Amino acid sequence: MGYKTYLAKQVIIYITVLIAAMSILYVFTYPVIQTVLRKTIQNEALHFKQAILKHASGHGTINMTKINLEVHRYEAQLISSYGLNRPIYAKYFIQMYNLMTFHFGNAYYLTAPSGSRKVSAIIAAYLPYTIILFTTGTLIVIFAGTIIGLLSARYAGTFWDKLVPTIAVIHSSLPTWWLGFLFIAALAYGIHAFPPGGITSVPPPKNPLMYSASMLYHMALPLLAFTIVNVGGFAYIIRSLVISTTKEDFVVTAKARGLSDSRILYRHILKTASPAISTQVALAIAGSFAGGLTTEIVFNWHGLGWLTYVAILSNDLPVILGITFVLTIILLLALFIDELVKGYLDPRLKVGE
Amino acid sequence: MSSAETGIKLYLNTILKNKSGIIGVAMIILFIALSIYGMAAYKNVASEWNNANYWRTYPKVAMPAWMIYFNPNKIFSTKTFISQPKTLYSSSSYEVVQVDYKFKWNKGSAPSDVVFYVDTSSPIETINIVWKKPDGAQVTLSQSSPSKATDLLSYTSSLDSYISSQIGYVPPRVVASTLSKALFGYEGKGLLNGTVEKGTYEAKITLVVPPHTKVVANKLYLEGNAYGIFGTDIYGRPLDIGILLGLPNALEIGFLTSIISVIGGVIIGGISGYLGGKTDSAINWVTLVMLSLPILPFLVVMSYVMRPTLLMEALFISFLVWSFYAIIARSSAQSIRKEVYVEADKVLGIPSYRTFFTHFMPRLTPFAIAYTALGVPAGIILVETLAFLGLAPPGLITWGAILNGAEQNFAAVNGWWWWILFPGLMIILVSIPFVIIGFSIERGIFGGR
Repeated sequence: MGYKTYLAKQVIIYITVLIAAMSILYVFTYPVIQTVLRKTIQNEALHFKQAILKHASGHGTINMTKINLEVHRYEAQLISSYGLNRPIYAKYFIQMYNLMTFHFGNAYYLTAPSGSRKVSAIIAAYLPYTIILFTTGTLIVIFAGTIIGLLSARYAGTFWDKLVPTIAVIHSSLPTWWLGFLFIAALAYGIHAFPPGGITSVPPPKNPLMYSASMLYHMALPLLAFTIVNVGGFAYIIRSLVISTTKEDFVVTAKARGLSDSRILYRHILKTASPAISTQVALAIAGSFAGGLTTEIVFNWHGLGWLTYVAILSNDLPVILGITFVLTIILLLALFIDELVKGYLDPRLKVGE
Repeated sequence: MSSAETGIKLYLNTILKNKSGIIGVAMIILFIALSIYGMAAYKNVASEWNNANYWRTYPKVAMPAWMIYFNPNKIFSTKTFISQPKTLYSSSSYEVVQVDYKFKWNKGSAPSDVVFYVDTSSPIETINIVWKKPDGAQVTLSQSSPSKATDLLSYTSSLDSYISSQIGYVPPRVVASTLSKALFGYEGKGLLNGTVEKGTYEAKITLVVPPHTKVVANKLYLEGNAYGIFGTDIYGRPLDIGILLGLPNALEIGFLTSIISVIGGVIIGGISGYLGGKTDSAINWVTLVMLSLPILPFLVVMSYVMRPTLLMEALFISFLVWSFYAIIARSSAQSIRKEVYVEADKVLGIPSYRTFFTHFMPRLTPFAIAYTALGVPAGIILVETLAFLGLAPPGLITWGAILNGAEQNFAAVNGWWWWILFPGLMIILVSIPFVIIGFSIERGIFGGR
């Protein structure tokens, strides 16, 4: 099997997985989606009617029956386009198609900064901030975690070796949002060393350099909380991957050949463990978007998590649903890219074994 | 079956020989004992938790009581006074009852609030309070058809006019502690600057009640700013009770999610790895689907849409996380499948389900135990996170909901650190023993170091 066959197989698998994952969410939220769509249609019809009335009032005569007929026709058109009058199986296909093409309908109350009420526009406006914060955070975690993990795998019985299990316990027992909450109380409001939240200072600086500096300053505290909580888990994974590879025969052979420890570690062990590590990296980045929901709330960081909270508080269901769909797609995309990278790194696939 | 017993015994031994393992087991036993105590001792309190009236007489956002030792002049606990009610006048249409309190105040700051508690057999028509300061100055507070417990905020209108008569204006945001300063400060421009008149105060409470009304109980509360082990929240609810009552809920959901998802995951993953072939690929595909669902957003949607009970919530979480355990169980089952004794069983014609139960399940049991232990804190953190978002199962006391209250009432800005610190510390404290035990078994299985 060559790399291309592998690729084709993965594409097919992941498309089926995407459809299945979406279907699960669809099944769980079926009744809710119906009411959401009905409300969206009612709102749109109302907007349509107002638009016609505005237009007609400029032209003198207003024929209410004609307008109402027009609105009804428009409403019926919308209902059939959302598939609300169809049997369940047809509904399923139409609504799944709408979901896959990011047609989540309109939000009840929330609007994007641009004023659009489309859920996809709202999500698109907030998603970049989530990506900025958590990609940076995960990169720091991966960098620090890999170093600590390698050090602890290499120097058995030292400080590094004992450090990893301890910080791994922290990772599994500490919620990031709570640590952030504590940091805000102590470091932001207590000693005023950091801003208590937000993305930039208010009003945002005009100079792009100052803007990014202000943003970095605001990112410091969330990143600190995120890193403290997550670095242990990643270091622990790296450590166990490296240790389990160390037990393989080829490492013993390399040792017998008299190669230096660092050469064995970097050239042999790390190279072999890299596909597994890449999986962890992909999962860590994609998982951090979804897992960071609550962290954004305490830091008032206006990303998807904060948006979710606002949507919950204001009962804006379409937005909550849309965010979940987008996060599912991101996670799947990460898994898929990881699968490709893994295939690329795996020499057995290249030679067509 | 003997191999299974020795297996479990072996892992129990590794836990109990390990110093941190013993501490972990001891902590878990302590937590279970505390939950049982909490459920038994505060059964009635749990149902009143969200009833603001029940907590009327408690000090609001009071810091932990042990803070008194650091600054006994400014930090103090609530003082209560009782006095005998006297009937001043009675007629066929109404009665006038007077309660007279006299007390000494020599603390450096005013109480955080003053609560007048009068329980009568029929509702009070009007209440009139004459407050006499040590230097003779008087303040009159009045209210018609009051509730049993009236705090200073119920007399805001009387007190506001008193404050503006002294300092010329009314401060923009009036809270109970400001009103209390007015009752305890020297008259004049500096009424609210925090200096307190020391000496004997007198509060004459005159009640107008329907005839033949009896005063069942009466009390004067001078609310302190310190209460209990962990302080109180903005409604006056003691956090120590809240934390104690949150413990059984946290443990229950942690155990439930972890046991359901691990048993499900290990059985499904074990069967998948054991059977191999097409069944394996099919189950593997299902696992991949489940893995691609982001857990927290999915839980947010499900909790939001259905508002599940505790058991349903546990089932939802298990449904979303079993796949993690299935993958691990599958890979270890695959390696067991290659063992000679499995081949031997096959050759001997022993039915496959028996092979599964005699050779596979015993070897998967330690996994199951390790991941059950690790799954408990994972479940607890997920539920507390949901509760922090305001999506806890309705009617449950959870630490996440307490922290949500702290977030919504700006505890960080106001410096109410105890409201943030202790509920979160409990999440960590409850998680740690499970994590330690899980890690020590996991290390036992994988060898590690």
